[in-house]
Amino acid sequence: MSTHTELPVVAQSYLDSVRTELSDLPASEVDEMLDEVREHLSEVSGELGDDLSEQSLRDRLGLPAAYANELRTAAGYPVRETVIRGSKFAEWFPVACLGVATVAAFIVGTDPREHANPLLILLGLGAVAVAAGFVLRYRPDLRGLWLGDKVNQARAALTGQGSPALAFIGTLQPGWWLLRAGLVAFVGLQLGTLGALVVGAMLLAMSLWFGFRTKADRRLLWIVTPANALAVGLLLSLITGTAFRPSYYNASVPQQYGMYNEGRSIENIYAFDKDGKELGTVYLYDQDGRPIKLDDHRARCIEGRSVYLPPPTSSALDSNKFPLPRLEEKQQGVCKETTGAPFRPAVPVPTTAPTTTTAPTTAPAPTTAPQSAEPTQ
Amino acid sequence: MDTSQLLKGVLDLAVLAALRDEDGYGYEVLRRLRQAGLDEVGDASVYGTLRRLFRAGVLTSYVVPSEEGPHRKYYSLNDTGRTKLEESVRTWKDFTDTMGQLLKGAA
Repeated sequence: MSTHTELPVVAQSYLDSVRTELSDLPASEVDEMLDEVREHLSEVSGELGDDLSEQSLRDRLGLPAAYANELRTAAGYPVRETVIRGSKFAEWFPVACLGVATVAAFIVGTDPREHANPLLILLGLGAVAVAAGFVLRYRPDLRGLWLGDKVNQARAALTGQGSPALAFIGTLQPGWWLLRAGLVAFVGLQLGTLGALVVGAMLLAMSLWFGFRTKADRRLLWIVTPANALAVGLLLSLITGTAFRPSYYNASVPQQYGMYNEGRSIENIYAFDKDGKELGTVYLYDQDGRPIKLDDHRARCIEGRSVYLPPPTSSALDSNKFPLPRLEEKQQGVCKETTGAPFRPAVPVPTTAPTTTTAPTTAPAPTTAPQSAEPTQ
Repeated sequence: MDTSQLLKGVLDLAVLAALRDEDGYGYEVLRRLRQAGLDEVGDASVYGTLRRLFRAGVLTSYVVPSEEGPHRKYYSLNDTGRTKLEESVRTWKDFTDTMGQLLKGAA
């Protein structure tokens, strides 16, 4: 019923009073019912004709509050809980808690990596719990009806009654329910939460359930408001890209291979004993017992041909076994693997007083000049 | 005994019966009930009852535009509604028979 005939002023004012009395009910239900109340008032006004006045309308239909109450009861809605006139503090404290929870949820959402710390999450959940406890204990009348009133009032203030824009936004609502579940699940997945897919499916079901239920039961607004703030925050973080900014704790250090010696990449390691004699095969480990692997990007000689092995393949080889096979190109396009050191080392001669307690019994006699530490070309 | 107390229990049945032969909008249903002699039925109760029966799925509704005055929302009984009406009529008859027996000679 988009087009309404103008009601006489007194009838319109009666209608407005009835609307106020029903303001705790879901807005769509109220609109449907008030369309018929409007029709009713139009008929009655027509019958009263020149006698129409505030008084005659009330004589005929009763006070707006009584009319609304009769309508509500007959339509099967719960009786409006009478508002207890409590202190202002009791009225605003739970709302302040809700505000804290909403802001906390929003902050967590805007940067889930940095801000999802237990303190902030506890603060949000705690604030909701305190608000709920406070409301149930001191102001049961606030439970949701009151919050529902505020939401309906805000909605009415933002857009005129029955505005097409509002109706359009209303049709988008289920889309938002899907989006917010998707957002939380998606970001959860990116953060590597286990079973994010299962959690995502559950969130989707919950989001839809909450969406439909909240339309009928405004008490859920106490939970839905912070949850929506979290989803809005996540949406914002997705747009600005902060959600997937690499974290300091999770940098890609383990992905780096290789070792460096004074700025130059180490490509092979040759071990010599104290006498300068080259050791055969050795396996090297770090302080934690992890195999020491050099840069995995290295060439291997397979069937006489030089093959460049990408990391997954070469890391499957026992690459902490040293020396690594070294490629020697015999002639153009034909290679050969050797393991011998391509240089003669200058093993330090312990002629100066050794710092070790077990002094070598025989002094090593290197054949090459002591200072020629550079590998032979 | 206050008739309005009795009405509360049977308003569903009365509204369903008022729609049995012909569809009607809210005020029309109200008028039919009044014409049938149910003077004490409250206006808002009839509108509320129509709304509840509609939500319960025993009534369907459609809007008829009107040249003068507001558009009217007509209600009609669907199959579920007719079944419910028949059941309610049987219950009502059993009840009134029982009460009739009980009250015989009392007045």
